[in-house]
Amino acid sequence: MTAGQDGYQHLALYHENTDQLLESVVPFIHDGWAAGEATVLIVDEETIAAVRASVSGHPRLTLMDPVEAYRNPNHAFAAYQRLTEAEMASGAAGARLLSRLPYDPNPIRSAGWAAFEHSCNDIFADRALTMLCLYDTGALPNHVIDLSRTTHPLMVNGGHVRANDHYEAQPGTIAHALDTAHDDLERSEPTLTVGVVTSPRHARTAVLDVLNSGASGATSGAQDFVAAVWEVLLNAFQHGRPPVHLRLWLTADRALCAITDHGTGTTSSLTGLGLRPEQAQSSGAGLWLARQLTDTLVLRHHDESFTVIIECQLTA
Amino acid sequence: MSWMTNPTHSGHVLLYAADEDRTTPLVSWVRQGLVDDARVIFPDGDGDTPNASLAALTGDVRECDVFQGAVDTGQLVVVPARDFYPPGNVVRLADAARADGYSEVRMVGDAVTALAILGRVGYQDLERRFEELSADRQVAVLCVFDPLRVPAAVIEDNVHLHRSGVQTSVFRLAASSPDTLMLAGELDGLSAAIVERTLRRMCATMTGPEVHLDLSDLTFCDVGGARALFNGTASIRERGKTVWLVRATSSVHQLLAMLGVTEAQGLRVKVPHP
Repeated sequence: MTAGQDGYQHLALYHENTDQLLESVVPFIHDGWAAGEATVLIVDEETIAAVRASVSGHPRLTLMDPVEAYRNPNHAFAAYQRLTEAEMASGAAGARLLSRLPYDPNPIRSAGWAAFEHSCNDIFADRALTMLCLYDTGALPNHVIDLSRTTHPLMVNGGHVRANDHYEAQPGTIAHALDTAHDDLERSEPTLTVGVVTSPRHARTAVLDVLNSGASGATSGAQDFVAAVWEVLLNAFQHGRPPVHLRLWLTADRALCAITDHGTGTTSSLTGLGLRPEQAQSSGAGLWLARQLTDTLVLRHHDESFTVIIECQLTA
Repeated sequence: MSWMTNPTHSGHVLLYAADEDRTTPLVSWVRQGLVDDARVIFPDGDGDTPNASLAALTGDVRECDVFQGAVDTGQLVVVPARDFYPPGNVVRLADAARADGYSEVRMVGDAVTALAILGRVGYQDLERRFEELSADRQVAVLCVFDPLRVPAAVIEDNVHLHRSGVQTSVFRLAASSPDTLMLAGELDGLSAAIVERTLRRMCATMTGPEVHLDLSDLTFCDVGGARALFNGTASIRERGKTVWLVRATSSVHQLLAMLGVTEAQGLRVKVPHP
C-alpha cells in the first residue's frame, strides 16, 4: 500500500470482520513506518486490541481517545491538526490516522459527521496526513455506508488502494442529506416558539430563560448552546431575510434549536466546518464558533427558506 | 448592574439605541440629573408638544408625574426642537442654566431630529459645540443615535466627537482612567461597529505605552464583539503599544481564546477570572 507518500490521502476501508480489517490495516501501518510516518489510532478498544496483536510495538504508534477527539466535527479537525503537527515536530515525516467515527442513529448527527468527512478533503489537502477510515458493513446502516462512499477519494481492499468511483468532489449527496435529515424532537411540540423574531436580543433572553428553568440550566453546556443560538440568530438578521422564526426544544438532557429565515442561506452546506478562522472577522466565523460550542449544527436549505439546526447534549 | 441605570454622568456620550431600547438609559440619565440638582434640558420631538415628548420619554405615569414636577420648578426644561438644536442655542441654554444658579447642566440630543433640522454640516457643528460644552465638565451631553435611522456615514463622521464613550441599551465603553477603558455589559454584533470605531478613537488618545481594557463587567461577548476588540485596538498595537485584557470573565476569556484574539500581537491577558 503506497498511499501516504504523496501528502494528504483519505481512504475508506469497508470490512465485515476483523480479518478483513487487519488485511488492510497492518500493511497500512507498516508502510507508514517504512516511510518515517507515525500512526495514531482513534478507534474502539476492540480494534486497538486487534491491531496491537498484529503489529509489534513501535514508538510511532499512539492512541487518541475517540470520545475526546470526536466531541464535535470542529473539535475533530483541531485534534487531527494537533496530532499531525505534534508527530512532525517530533521528527516523523507525516502522520497516519486510523479512525472509526462514532456512529449515531440520530439522522442529523450522522449527516453532520458525513459532512465532516467530506470537509477533511479540503481542510487537510496540504498536510502530510493519511487518513484510513473504518466502516463495519455488518454494523452500520446502508445510508451511512452510502454517504461515506461519496466522501472518500480512495478505497482500500485487501491491502490494495484504488480510486473511489463514487466520490463526489462537490458534496451534492451530503448537502441533500443535510437538507432532509430531521431530529425526532422536531416532530414534537417546541418548548419555545418565537413565531416572528423582531428583537434578536429578546429572543436570546427568552432562550436563556428556558434553558435556565431546565435541569441543566447552570451548566456551561447550556451557556455555550445559548451563545451558539445567538450567533446563528444574528446571522439570520444580518445576512438572511425576514421574517426570522425560532423554535426551541428542551428535554432533560438535550437542547435543540431551529432558526429559520427566508433568505437563500449559505453558499455551502459545509460553511463553518473547519479549523479556526485566521481572523475573527473572517466570513463564517460566527458559524464556526457556533459549531465549536455545540454537538451538532446542520445547515438546511429549502426552496424559499434557510434553517440552521443546533443541537447539544446538556449535563448537570 | 449600576451602570445600566446610571449612564455616564459627565462628558459627551453617544447613546446608540433604537426607539425601543433607549427609554431605560435615557430616563435614568434624566432622573440622575434631577437627583444631582442639575438643570436637564430636553428637546421635544420636532412637531410634538413638550408634554407629548415628556410622556414619550417616560412611558410611565408615575415617572411622568415626577418629571412634570421638575418641569413646573424649571429644573427640567423641554425646549421645542427648532429652538434647541441650532448650535448657538445650546450654548445660550447652558449659559442661561448657569445664570439661574445651576452648577450642572444636562442636555439630551437626538441625532435623527437634529439632522432633519440642521443637515449634516450643521449637525457636525452642533456636535462640536456639545464637545466644547462638555469639556468644562459642567455640561453633560447625551446624544442619541438610532442605528436604524442614522446613516452610517454620519456616525463615522461624529463618533470621534464623543470623547466620553459610547453606550447602548446593554453595553458601555468609557474611560475610567488615563490608561484604562472600561467595557461593561454585553458586547455583541449589533453594536460592534460603533464600539470598534469608538474604541479605535479612544485608544488613539491614550498616550502611555499600554492600554488596559477592563473587562470585569463585560458579561457577554460574541464574534462581532471579539472583532471590535481586535480591530479597535489594531492601530495602536501596530504602533507598538500593548493592550491588556484585564479581568475577563471565564466565558468571555474562553470566547476570545477560541477565536485567537488573546494570541494577537500586542494583546496580553491579565488576571482572568477563575
